Amino acid sequence: MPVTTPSRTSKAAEEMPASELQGLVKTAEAETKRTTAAEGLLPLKEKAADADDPETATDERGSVTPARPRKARRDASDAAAAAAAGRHISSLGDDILLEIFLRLPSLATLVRAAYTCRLWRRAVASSPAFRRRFRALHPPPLLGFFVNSQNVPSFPVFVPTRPRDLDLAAAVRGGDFFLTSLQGRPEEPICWEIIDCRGGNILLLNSADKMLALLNPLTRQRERILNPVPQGVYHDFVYNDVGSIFCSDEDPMSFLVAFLAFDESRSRIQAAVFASGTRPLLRRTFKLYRLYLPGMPPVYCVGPLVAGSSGEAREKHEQPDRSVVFLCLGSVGADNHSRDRVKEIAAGLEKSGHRFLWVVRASPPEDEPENKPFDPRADPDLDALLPDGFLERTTGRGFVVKMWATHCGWNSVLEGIMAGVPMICWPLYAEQKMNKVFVVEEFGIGVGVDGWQQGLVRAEEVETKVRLVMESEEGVRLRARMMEHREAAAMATKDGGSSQVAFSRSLSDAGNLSVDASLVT
Amino acid sequence: MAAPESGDGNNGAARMVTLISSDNTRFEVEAAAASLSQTLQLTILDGGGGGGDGIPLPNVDSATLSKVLEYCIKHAPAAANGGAPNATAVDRAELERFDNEFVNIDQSVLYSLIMAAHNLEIEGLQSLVAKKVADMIKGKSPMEIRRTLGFPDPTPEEQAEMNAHMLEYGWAYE
Repeated sequence: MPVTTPSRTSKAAEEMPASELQGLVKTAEAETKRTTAAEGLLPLKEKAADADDPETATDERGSVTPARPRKARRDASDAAAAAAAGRHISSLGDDILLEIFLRLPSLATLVRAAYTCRLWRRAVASSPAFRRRFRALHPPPLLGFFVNSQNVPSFPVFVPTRPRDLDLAAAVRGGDFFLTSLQGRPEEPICWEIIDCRGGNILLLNSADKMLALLNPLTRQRERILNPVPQGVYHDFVYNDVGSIFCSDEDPMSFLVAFLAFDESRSRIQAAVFASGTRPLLRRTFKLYRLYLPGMPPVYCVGPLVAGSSGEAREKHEQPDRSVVFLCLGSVGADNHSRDRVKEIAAGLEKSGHRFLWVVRASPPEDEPENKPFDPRADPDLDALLPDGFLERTTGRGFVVKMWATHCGWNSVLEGIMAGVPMICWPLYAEQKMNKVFVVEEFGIGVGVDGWQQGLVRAEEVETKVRLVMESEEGVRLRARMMEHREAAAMATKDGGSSQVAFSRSLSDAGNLSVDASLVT
Repeated sequence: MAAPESGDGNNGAARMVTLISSDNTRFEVEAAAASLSQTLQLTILDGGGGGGDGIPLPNVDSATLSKVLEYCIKHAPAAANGGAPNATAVDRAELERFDNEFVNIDQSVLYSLIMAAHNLEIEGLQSLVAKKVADMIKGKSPMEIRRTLGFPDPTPEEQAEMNAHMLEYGWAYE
């Protein structure tokens, strides 16, 4: 046994992927479509080609050359005679043909058989049931092992099992098991380690620059580089080699890669999910996590958890629907409400001309020593904070709340979704950056403000984004997507909705749990 | 499936049924043998095919039917035993030898057998002939398969597709 220990050095046996079959199928399906279209146009010609009796006979005679061995000549002339009589193995129906194909000894023989002619290819391509049966009867053969190297620079080493089977040997020769395409990348340091292997795909992590690479050595398909570090996210997280590939049996081109990162205490986990096709949802992330990583603590998706509406937004209700910009920049971060920020926001709001409701908190005193704890409940001095004359000029359309508010971060996002209002995102710290990625890039229900990474968003940018959301076509689209999410959130919290169900399950499971269950809101 | 109606006559002599080929040749055969065909089995269980009636098989000619019945007669005893449990190694080896010899035939006959086994739903025979064709296909390139099975030479377009495929799936070719 070459590799039995579960150590880090002995990962990822590489198998001949069943998905190859679908690669073939994919091509063939495209082919089928083309042929079908042609049939519509040229029924007679197509039909003649299908029947192909006279042609067969002629061509066969032509193709029998004196150089051919006796046996082959006999076979061919037999076949020609049969073809002339219209009773020919090439004219078997799909059902029977597929029964024959099921008895082929390997995937490689099936691939060759399928490419013998278009009808045969179409037969294989058009039957998912056949492909499932074939896979079940032909478990993927073992081509060899990848071994992660301990040295630096590190690069996985492939150890072939040196199969006797000619087809398998050819497979090893034909593939890129030295991962040369990856080695040739100047962008990344040579610190690659295989962290998962499935369906012929391998997933590698670059320990130096935190990149993932997904590739298929057998098909020499170019690697895809996946970056689990969207700007600002994950920076304080420790990486672990917890990543998984999920691939579809039916569509080899589609994949899902899940990658988990932990903070140092392992109390928080971040998950990145990459999908080849449709955009993944957060909910899905955790479902995968729960289903496929049984060693991890359970996760219950009990969200959205939002407190009932308070009376604080009365001012909003006296305004026309969908006309008020609501601003709040969090509760506890001392730096959230610096004077510069307040000034820029004020100017932006004023210029946008839209109605607003703005939660302003006291700024940390600039002249006091740093070590004095910031008191978020201190009474803000509005006259000092806001530009001269701001309150007067915006009377009637602006309302500044002098209070400590409990919004921002994930709570605000959830409240925004439950209320169905598109968001302008200005992440400040902690997980807010990740939330911004979800809101803007994943859900498509908000826009980010430029400049947040530099710490200060200019008044013009505030005005631009307020106008974009309130006035533009894009704003309408944001609102429409937001309504979908609002409905989904409302469904989740109804009786029998996912939130209710997950919460009851967490309660009923609680008896069996000792530590580490986390509730995802 | 393994109920060849021995309770019917119960007088020692095996019950016989008559099958009529597409060219009107009559074949008298033991019900147990004919019942290897799923298609015929129900009719026979209902008491059909006896006496002067006969069961018409419009899709099977006499040459093919005779070949099919040769197979059924050979395999009927093993099938009546429910297959393997009682069969000795010698019996099985003998059946295997018979099967190998049985499908060593011209492609046109093989084709007729495939169709007949399919129409009559004779599981063992279906499997046997399918395996035979699979054996003819395996270990060959698409071009060799075409020649062996008597396809016409590929059109230039088809040839180009086959070449492109060989490039893409190099691992499946030697």
